[in-house]
Amino acid sequence: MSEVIGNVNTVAPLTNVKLCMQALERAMNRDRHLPGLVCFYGPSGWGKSSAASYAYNKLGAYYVECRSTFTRKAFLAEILKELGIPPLKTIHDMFDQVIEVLGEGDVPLIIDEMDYLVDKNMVELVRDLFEGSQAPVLCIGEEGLPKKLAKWERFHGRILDWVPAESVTLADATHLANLYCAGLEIREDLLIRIHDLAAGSARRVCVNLALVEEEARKKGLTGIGLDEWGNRSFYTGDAPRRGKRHGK
Amino acid sequence: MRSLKRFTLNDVWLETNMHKRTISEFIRGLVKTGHLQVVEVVDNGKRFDASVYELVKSPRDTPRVRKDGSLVTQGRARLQMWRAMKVLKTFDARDLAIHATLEDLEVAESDVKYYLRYLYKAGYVSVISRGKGMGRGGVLSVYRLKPGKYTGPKAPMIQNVRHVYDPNLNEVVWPLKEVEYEQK
Repeated sequence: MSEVIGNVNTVAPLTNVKLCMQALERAMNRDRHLPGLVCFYGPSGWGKSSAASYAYNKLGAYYVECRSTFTRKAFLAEILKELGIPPLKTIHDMFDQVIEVLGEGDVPLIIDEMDYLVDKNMVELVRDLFEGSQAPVLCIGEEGLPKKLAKWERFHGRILDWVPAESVTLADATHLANLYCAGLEIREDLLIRIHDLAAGSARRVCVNLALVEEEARKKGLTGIGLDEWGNRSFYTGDAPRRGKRHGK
Repeated sequence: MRSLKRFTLNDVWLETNMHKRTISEFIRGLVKTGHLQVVEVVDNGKRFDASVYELVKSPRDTPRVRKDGSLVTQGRARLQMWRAMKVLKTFDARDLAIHATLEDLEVAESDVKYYLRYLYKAGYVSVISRGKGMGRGGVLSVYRLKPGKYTGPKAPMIQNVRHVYDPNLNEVVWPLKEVEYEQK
């Protein structure tokens, strides 16, 4: 717990948030002749979005999330909305609008759910955006993203850094407990158990922390360990959300 | 300043026609924060037009500085919440508070709840599961930012008269005007 002092209430100390920030900072401070694309990937629920949200706020970045319905135009329109600029009519003009603003400063662009762009053959568009603006770009995607991108050699070769998200650590679990269950002491034996059951997923840790908190509240406990928890079941399946309603 | 890149106080004054005092204080603040640099001092006997400044850092969010170089944080909590909402999509007040908090600006859960209440009224977020109870024994409501309701980079504001104003649309979005009520 000693390492989190100073930013107790932020997600910054979490492993994946740190990895994501480091990757972006490397892209921002790169030598001018190096490419500024970085790729952050991992299974869902591992905290990629938490990391993205922190980087978005911390660096004042631009953030777009891709959807399966995206066309080239829709993608550019989404970026322009994020830039706060009314879009022009043609794809060509919209592209120029985006380049102009992105090229002005060293503000990074975060592209979440990059897989959809790959599926829609729009990878070249991202590359063009980068080539035109030289703005640092962070692509976030699922575990299989690097493999999918291997097909696009011209894009693949421009990635400065591949950063795989890491599975949740015990220190992460401890920090999450401090964030989400402030005021409740969760003893280490229980935390270790929650961490073991999570199989790498930060989301699953959060679901189980919520269960533990609820149990402690029902019994009016201020601290809880394996003894108090007994052999109640934990949530081990994939949960859609930090589920107060799931797992009972 | 972003378009000028290199300028004197007088250049900015000609472009903006703002009060000279306002300009010089803003620039003094920006020099202190390192956004601007003095690149040349011309001794032409005019105080207002003596130094040439250059823009060194041009971040996305135009900094709001006082003349001593300290940052104005008013309104930033809402912006941080608005951005966290866009990324998380589904969240309760605690999720949002945790993700919107930065080292230099903590966002309180109570502030999040207040903001969400108004965004709900204005139709920006929907409730996925309603919470119950209050305080420690309570369960928080789970909200979702409605698809397509990210109207732009500026956070909707709650005005003093308790209206919700969206600076992206330049519109008061809640309460609806009477005409719109009739249409719906």
